[in-house]
Amino acid sequence: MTAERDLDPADIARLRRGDLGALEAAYRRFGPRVHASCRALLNNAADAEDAAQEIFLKVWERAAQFDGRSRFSTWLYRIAVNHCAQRTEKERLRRGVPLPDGDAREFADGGGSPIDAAGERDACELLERRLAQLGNEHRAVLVLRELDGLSYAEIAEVLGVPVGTVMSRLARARERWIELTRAAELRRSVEESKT
Amino acid sequence: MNDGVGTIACARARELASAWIDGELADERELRSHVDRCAECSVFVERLYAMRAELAGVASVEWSDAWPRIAARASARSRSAARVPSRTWIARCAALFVGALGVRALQLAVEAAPSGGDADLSSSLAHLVSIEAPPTDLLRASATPERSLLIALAPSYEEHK
Repeated sequence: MTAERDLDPADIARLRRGDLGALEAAYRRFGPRVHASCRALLNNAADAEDAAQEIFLKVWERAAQFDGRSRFSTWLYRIAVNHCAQRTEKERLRRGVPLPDGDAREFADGGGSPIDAAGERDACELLERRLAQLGNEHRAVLVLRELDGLSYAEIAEVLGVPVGTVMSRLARARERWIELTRAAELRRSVEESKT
Repeated sequence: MNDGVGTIACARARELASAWIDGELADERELRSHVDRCAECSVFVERLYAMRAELAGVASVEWSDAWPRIAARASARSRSAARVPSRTWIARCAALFVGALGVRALQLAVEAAPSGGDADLSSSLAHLVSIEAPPTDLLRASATPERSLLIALAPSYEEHK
């Protein structure tokens, strides 16, 4: 996996001046990744569509504040991750779901239902539901690495944590993912043995 | 799971393996030494690659081009932002207005001050701020619109006391 090319400096300058064409250039380059990240972080296709639009509107409104000290993509992903985190938190409060703690968090705050054989028709949906079973912190770090292709240093900048934390969170997220995959395989084999 | 094979434990080896597949591990000798002897961690590394392939499917999810909607909403926000003066601009206007009022108040104070031979600006200013000589009393001497506004804005002598 390689990190994608950043937005052209001329487009960044135009975006800072309020040029709508530059926003379109940013959307064409990063829109699909941002959309996929929103789907993975929010576990809801309709919410992801809306969130991706809101994220690019925030980019539009805040472009003048981009100081160029980081890559444009890093700045964009920071907006995206924060937007999805805020949206998830609002939804949690709306539903009155208590904030999970400890190990329970890993499986409780994704909002996804347990994986069962009947729900595995759509492979992509299955993967998104598995992602939703990770805790918010693990899901974010995994999405930024696997879907967005950011380096550890860039992820650290987006999330505001040390690089060592990124490394350990990623390792734990992957271990959890592999555990969930094994559990799903086991369930599937049990279902198949019944039929 | 092994608590320790070679020089490092499995938990540490998995953290290193995770960094290794990302190309973020500077020295892989420790990891290789462990994985060569630990079957479980060897399987873990294989699983990491399988996971990467699976997640590539999420990254390539279909999406609809929302640019026309984003462009329309961005344009609308730009127009409304242009119509509404910024807070900085409002603050500047307010500061100018208050400043103008202050200057006019000084002019009025000078005009209303006792016209003795030694009356000067400093005595007029003292007159303006003195509790014994409330500013509203001075201002009521005239009925120009500016003075009416100042009377309305100034605290009454009774409140002052």
